[in-house]
Amino acid sequence: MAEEKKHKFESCIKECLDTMYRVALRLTKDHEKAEDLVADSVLSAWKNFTSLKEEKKFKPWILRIITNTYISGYRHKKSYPDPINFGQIAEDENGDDFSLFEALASPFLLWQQNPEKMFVNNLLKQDIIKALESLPDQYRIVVTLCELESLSYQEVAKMLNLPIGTARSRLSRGRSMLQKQLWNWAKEKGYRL
Amino acid sequence: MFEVLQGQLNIKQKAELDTHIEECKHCCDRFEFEKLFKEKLSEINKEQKAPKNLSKKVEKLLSEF
Repeated sequence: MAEEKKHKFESCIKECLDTMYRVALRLTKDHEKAEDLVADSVLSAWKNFTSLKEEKKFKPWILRIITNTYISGYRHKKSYPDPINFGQIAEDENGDDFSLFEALASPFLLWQQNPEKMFVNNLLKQDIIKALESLPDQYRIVVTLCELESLSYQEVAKMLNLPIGTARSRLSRGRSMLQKQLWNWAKEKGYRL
Repeated sequence: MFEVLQGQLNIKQKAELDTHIEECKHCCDRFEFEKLFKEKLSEINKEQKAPKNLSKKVEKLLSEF
């Protein structure tokens, strides 16, 4: 019975390891810390494996463990001037809703055929990663989980102990901030406007 | 629009949105763009694999349980 439980756990971990690492990397922004976070989360997950009722929910369950481990453990190793309650951060940061589509679809750029598609195709991997890493924690986590790892609002809201509306608005704002950052860098690099 | 990209709409809501997108060029173009942007993010995200030494570290941990 114990052996069966262990095999099941191992199989779930191996299936999710890439996802676990990716999320850990987005959170910590550091390869070594991401590996440590994954290892700590595997230990924590093993101790609590009996609490998981449905194997098909392993992925959101383990990602919740990774996120909680990050929030409680890793962030406190940095020196923040004031402790931040992750779930109750005021939603007034960068209130404007920037849209890359609207910026690219301006009449000024109409001489280009499909400037929006060209812009996306020319986005470099390192720029996207840098833009993701530039997002404040509360937005980066939601964008990572919803946008990159395709978790639902409900799953993310439950993981982060947030109302669904807050998860939704953080995703919307996170996307907007991400697009704004990419747009600003493109302009700095001399993207033809 | 983002709800449909996240797969969060029910059948009725999706049908209503599909109808609107067919009729409104701006929204159609915006939807296609946001879909392309999301696909680009996913593509880059999925390229990232767990490094070999992490796999070994986790295997070692699992063997100790």
